[in-house]
Amino acid sequence: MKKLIVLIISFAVLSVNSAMAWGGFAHSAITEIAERNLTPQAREKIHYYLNHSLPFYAIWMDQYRYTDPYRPSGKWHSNWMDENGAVDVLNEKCAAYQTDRIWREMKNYHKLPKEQVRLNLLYLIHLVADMHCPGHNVWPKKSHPQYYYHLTNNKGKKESFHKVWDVDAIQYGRKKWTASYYADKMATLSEKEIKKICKGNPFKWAVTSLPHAEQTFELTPAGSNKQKYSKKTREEMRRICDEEAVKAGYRLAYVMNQIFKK
Amino acid sequence: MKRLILFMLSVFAVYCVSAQTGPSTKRVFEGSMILAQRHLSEDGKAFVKSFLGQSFYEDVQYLYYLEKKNQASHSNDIHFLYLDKNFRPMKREGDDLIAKIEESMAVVRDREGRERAEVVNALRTIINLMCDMHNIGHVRLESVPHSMQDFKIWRYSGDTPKYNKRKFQVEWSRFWNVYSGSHNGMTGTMWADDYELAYGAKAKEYAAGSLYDWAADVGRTANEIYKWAVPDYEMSRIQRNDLEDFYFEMMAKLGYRLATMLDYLAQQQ
Repeated sequence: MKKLIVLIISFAVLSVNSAMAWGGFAHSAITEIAERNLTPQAREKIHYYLNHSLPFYAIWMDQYRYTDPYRPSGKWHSNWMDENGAVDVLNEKCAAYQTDRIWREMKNYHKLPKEQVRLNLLYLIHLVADMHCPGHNVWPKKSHPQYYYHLTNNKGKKESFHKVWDVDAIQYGRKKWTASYYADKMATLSEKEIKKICKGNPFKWAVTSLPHAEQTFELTPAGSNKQKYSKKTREEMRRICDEEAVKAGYRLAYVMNQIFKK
Repeated sequence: MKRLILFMLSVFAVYCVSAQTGPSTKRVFEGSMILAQRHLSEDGKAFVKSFLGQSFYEDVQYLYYLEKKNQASHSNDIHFLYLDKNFRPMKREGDDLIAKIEESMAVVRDREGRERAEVVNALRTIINLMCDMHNIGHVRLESVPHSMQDFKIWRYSGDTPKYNKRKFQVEWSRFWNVYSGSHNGMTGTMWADDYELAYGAKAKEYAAGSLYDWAADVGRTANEIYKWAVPDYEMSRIQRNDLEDFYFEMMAKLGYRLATMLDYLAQQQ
């Protein structure tokens, strides 16, 4: 009976912890970095199209992906690779493809209906973040079946590879961190560094993130017990996520600033 | 032993609810407090600082804290706004939100010669109850019988048969926490900035009037919502999404109105 009680307590603690962890943290942090790096002109224009701040809309695409007419966008949240392992520039499901498409469309934003500009902004806010998540890269099953695999936990049960990289990795050891604090601590790049990471386009950005995506498979191999990763592994996972999240924040601001430059 | 297990499971259930709705909801209200503080006059700021210190973010849950510590002399009824058919406060016998705010306002107004702790207690009570007043789940209308007590609704995760397989039952008074929970990375300051950006243009409109006007405004809004919000109502994902902006507008109203209230009290001496 004592074992049963211990089991119940363990279940309680583990359940609450997992319920509290969510991808909202990373999305809020990325949009907070972007918000801080908007030009006054871009901020004013964005406010014309969106009532709220960028962080408010950080997970808009997740909230609306299961409802019409936004259902097709539910498939845009990852970068997809072709048979050769390169970013699939022709795949409409690819986050980089959609980011690039929307960015191009927005170059003439003043000719678009207001509602279309609003929707495009909502998509960009989420897609630029998602395309930088190390766990959001899909290779053909033959070459990289890993995206579809599962990790395990101490009880031998399946754990989501995707969730570990979306949620757990970036929050390791940071239970009390807020999105503002994250932006204070992590978004400290110089003008020169920002300029360097914003160079290129969504496809090039996706390509430069691929080594990190490949690393996810080495750090969290199929079937590995996520509760037994060493401190060193967890710190490396967090470092990878930080590097990508910070780039995403600056790049999102860059995209917005470029769109509303004129 | 079975009783012990049942007891532990009950404790777990309560813990789960509080853990899921606690921190993020608190930060949403914290945003309203920061907004209020930003909109205080200089006199108001000095007055609040003299009694509550640098911030009053913790006071949004002051009465709940007393209840948790078994130091409260009131019942749970105090957290609910009871309005008659004309959206006027019912001022029921016993605990009543508006009556308690007015009683606390009187204490603050006549603060000279009173114990400081009594004034601090009254201010904290006002802050907590102003928060409760702006939560639609805490509005009870005489003209809507089913609103006079808490009830449960169902919330769907999607709008298709596939996603409708997942649905959650939730108490009406807690339903609105779903919106804070889905923005769990936001801080109080980020919320305050957001309220200002989204609703700042209407700040004067929101803050105009008296306590009774604000209560009536909340009551009229609730009246519209209670036309569809009935026990066992099944809420679609689309409707859940559509209501989000409305919830945060209430939080902005709270901030601007609380600033007006505290400025008014600062001037009374």
